[in-house]
Amino acid sequence: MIMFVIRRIASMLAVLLALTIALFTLQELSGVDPARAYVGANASAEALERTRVQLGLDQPAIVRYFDYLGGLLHGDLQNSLRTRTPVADGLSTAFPATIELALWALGLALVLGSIFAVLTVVRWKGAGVVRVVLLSGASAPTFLLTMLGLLFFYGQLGLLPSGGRSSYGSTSPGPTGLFVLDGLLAGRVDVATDAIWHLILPAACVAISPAVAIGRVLVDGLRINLVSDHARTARAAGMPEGLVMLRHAVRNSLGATLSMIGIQAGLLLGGLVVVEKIVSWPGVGSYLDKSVQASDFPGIAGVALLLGVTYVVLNTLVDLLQVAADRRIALS
Amino acid sequence: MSVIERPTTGRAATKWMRMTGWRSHTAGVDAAGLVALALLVLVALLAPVIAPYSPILRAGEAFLPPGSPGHLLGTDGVGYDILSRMLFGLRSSIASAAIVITSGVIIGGIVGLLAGSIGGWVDNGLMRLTDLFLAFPGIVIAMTVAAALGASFSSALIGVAVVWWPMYARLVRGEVRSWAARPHLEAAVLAGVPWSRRVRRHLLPGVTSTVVVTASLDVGGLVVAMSGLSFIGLGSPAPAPELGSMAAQGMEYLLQFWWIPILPGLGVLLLALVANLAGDAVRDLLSRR
Repeated sequence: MIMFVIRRIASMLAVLLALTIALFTLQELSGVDPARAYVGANASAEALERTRVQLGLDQPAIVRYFDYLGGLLHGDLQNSLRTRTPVADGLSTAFPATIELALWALGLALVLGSIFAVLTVVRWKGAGVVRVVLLSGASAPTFLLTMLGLLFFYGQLGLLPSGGRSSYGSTSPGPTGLFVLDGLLAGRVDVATDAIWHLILPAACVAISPAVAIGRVLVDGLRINLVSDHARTARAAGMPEGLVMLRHAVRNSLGATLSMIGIQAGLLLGGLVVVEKIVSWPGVGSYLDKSVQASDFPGIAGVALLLGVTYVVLNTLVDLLQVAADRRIALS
Repeated sequence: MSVIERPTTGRAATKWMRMTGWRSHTAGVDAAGLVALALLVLVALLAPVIAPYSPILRAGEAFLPPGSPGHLLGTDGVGYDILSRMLFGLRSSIASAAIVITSGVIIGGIVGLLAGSIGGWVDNGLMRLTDLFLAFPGIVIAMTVAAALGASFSSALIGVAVVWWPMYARLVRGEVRSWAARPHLEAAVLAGVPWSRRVRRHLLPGVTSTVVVTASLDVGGLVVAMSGLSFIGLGSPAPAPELGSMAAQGMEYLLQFWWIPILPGLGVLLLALVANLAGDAVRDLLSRR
């Protein structure tokens, strides 16, 4: 068990190291000159050369890689070519916005997926309709869903806001940077509800495709477990069907579902970027979009690193959680 | 041996699935999916012939709604003909999906075949590499690679291709290993059949149908993923007709002239749905055999 944890964490560190090597190599390929970014477009050749030496850019690639890695460990993600300020500063204000959206999306995906799975398994009559709606939703590009949502809920009904995170300015009233949580913590219920109204549309649009994937895994698991020997025994012993479902089917299906959630979290990132662009959500995705429009590779690499690290750490946690739930996994 | 030990829960589950009609595709749906995909591909191939206007030249007044005379799907903010642009966009979507899938199958196939059939440290090394790629969030890496190479059609293709092969590598390796463990292959090894002949005659034919099924089920998702890349500006640069970038450029007109951003999105949805149907059809056809 302890060996498993150590091995898993070591492999996580190796993956993260590989990520930094990949990003460094891509940066070299992209032809961005950090010295130029530092001094600006109008600087003299002399100043450029001085900065280049100052920044250690005259060194061989391997030395520069270790400089870059050292910088990363101190939270230095280089300077953005677009804003000419540290990428880390831009991302630190954008990250909480993305976290909040991602958490809501993942939560919605779980709820929708579970409802879909249980309805399908208990053979509720309308499950077919739900399935068709969700499946076509999952086939649609996220940008189409979001735009249709805006068109209907904002344009037609005027029910939801057109975009942004809050009607109460861009700073959160509390320490976490998550509007809903901070609003509740600060006793500002109006801020929290307003933030939820802003969250619903983008979160739902990102959530549909993971919801279907999670639902499918759950359906397969539930079906197999509902007809398994232990479920039959439980029924024979007089356990009500609802309890059989909860204790024997749902619980035993959680492992595969958890893995699926880990995988889907990665796919969700792509959807987040697109949705943030459409509803002007001030998060990492919008930052990436602006960086792409400005060909600002340090900005792009910063986003990739942040999302990559989040994803890798999250998946390690999922693996460890699974082992905690079922020790047999550590042995295999 | 494998016949006797087939787990009973698995069999019960299949029966259950049959009973509840989960994945009960009829031959009619299958045929419709394949025919629709063939039609879309044909339309895409013939885009230069069918398209009423050039996709990158002003064709008329801007903001004409769908159904306007001469402009079946209307015109966009510049005055480009949306139908013409969508036909070319469809063409580029289908072409890029085909290229990425092919490259993924070839690279992943070679890696998986080598790893599965040679085994030992080759297997170990190649699979570590594959796992490394799978450990990253694919879409983020694809975006980064595409951005590093500069926004263009080929950059986007390379970006997605870089993250698309590892799944195939893992799949092929698993299949190869399970085939290699079968009696006729053990016999071939003992009879001194050389490696290259074993791969060619016994392993490759064995893995092909699984790979084809997986690849055809992947097309829909790939089309959607690549349209997302194009949407955030990682694709052919502006006036080039791509469905994702068309939607992004039309976004500002969403509330007044909905058709400008929505129609290209519906184009992606249509292609993805048809590709998914056709993928299911391919799976049904190959697994029925």
